[in-house]
Amino acid sequence: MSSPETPEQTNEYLWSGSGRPDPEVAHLERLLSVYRQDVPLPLLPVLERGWWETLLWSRAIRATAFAAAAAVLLVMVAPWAMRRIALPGEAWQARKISGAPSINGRTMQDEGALRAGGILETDGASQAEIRIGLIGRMTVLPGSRLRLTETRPGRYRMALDHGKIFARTLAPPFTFVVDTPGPTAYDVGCAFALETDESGSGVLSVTSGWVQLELGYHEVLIPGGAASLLRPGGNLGTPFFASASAPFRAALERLDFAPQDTAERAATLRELLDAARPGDVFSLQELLRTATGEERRRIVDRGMELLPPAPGITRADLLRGDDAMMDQWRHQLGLPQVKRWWIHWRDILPE
Amino acid sequence: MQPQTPPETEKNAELVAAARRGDATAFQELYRHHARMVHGLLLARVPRDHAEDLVQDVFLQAFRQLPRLRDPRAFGGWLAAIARNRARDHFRRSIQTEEMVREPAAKGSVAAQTEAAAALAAIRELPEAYRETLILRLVEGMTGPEIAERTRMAHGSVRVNLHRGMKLLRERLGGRGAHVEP
Repeated sequence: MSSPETPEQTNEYLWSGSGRPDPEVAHLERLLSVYRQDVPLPLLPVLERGWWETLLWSRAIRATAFAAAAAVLLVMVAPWAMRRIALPGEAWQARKISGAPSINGRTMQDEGALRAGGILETDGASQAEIRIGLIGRMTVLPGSRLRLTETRPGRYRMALDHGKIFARTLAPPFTFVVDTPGPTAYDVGCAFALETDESGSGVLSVTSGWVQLELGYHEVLIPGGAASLLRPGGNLGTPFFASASAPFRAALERLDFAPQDTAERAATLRELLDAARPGDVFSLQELLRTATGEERRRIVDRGMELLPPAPGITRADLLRGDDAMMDQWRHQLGLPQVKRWWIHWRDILPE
Repeated sequence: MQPQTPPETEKNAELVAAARRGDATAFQELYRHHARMVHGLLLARVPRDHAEDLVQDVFLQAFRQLPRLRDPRAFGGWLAAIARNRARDHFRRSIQTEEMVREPAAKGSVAAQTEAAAALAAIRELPEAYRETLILRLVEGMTGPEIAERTRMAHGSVRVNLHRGMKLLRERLGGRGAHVEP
């Protein structure tokens, strides 16, 4: 290593990049600049819409010679476009399926409109269907109370105070959000059933796609075919597939939510691992996100028995929590890759 | 490279306000301003290929949480906090020194790749504050004033971190691969 010419020159160049370059700093700059990356901005719903709007307007202004053709084109395209762009503050259309659902305390006739701030309730014999802006539909099952908190392009948010909904959407990830007394559910483009009581106890079952649950700084992604329990308190339930046995589910629930001392927890983990089957490896892999020490070793060993890792993935990699190796092992489950279609999502709506 | 001035911070605040109103171009502009900073903060903590993926994650998260940001002028610091949390969450179970071994190869000759990897590894072994500022300065090519403005750190802190970090780095590289070529 060579020494800088003077401390002042070194200081100034290192601080502002100006003045006589410190050879060592300049060399490191050149050397390390290979790690610089121009990562493209992910496609976001608003950006997609903004780009089209910009394109449309700039062409309309500049291409006056084609105004007539553009007008014809707009006339043809407008009905198609209007079905895809929700207006700010637009109400969600509700339809009675059975019984006497109400909006803001008033019994619905056949149809009704739910606006931001509005409340839809179903009693024990009522059901309703709601159109979630223009991105999907939701069935509100008996005994439910939901509040529409926000509706605008790119953001459809509601709170399920209690009851059960079944929602199906086709929209960019995180466009549709459901708050519950416990965690918040972010739709990552999917169909799911969500049930909760006033205390925050319930279950989220994902039919297809993915849903992300968030509670404080914790988050968990639940794939289609899996479910996650909701319980009062600060924890999220580890996802499990529908094929999981009752003993596995019971042990998983105790691990996630029941206060246990070390010995009890070890015994519960033993029960869980004994009951685990190949279809439960996803749950074991999720537990590894937080497990440490002896727990981690036991989960890795059982997981490797049930789903031997591909060549190149070692036990040491998994014990160490090597992200790349863990990802490869997870990919062996054949679940759809969230990130790939999340980033490359396109505005394809069903209607 | 011109340092980011306070008016630019005000401009960022305007961009945040516009992005909140749904202005796509504004968010794109915020991304253009801050992508290097986010990449640098991530690279200080996670392997290079993960950092690239996580940059997108961080901006998606920021996009989603933009309405929760109380002070639009604090966007840079807020975004930096998201990036640090995201990296911590992503990499909390990994042992960094072992990850470095598998760091994807950089561009250039084998010798340059080796030297670059050694330098990056040495920076990553420094305390967090030095690591961040040095990566933003040496990898991302930001100046001290830019780092201060975009991460919302005090100029004095950035200056101290740069100089102390560089001093430590010189000591560590003294016995390793990176060296100054004549």
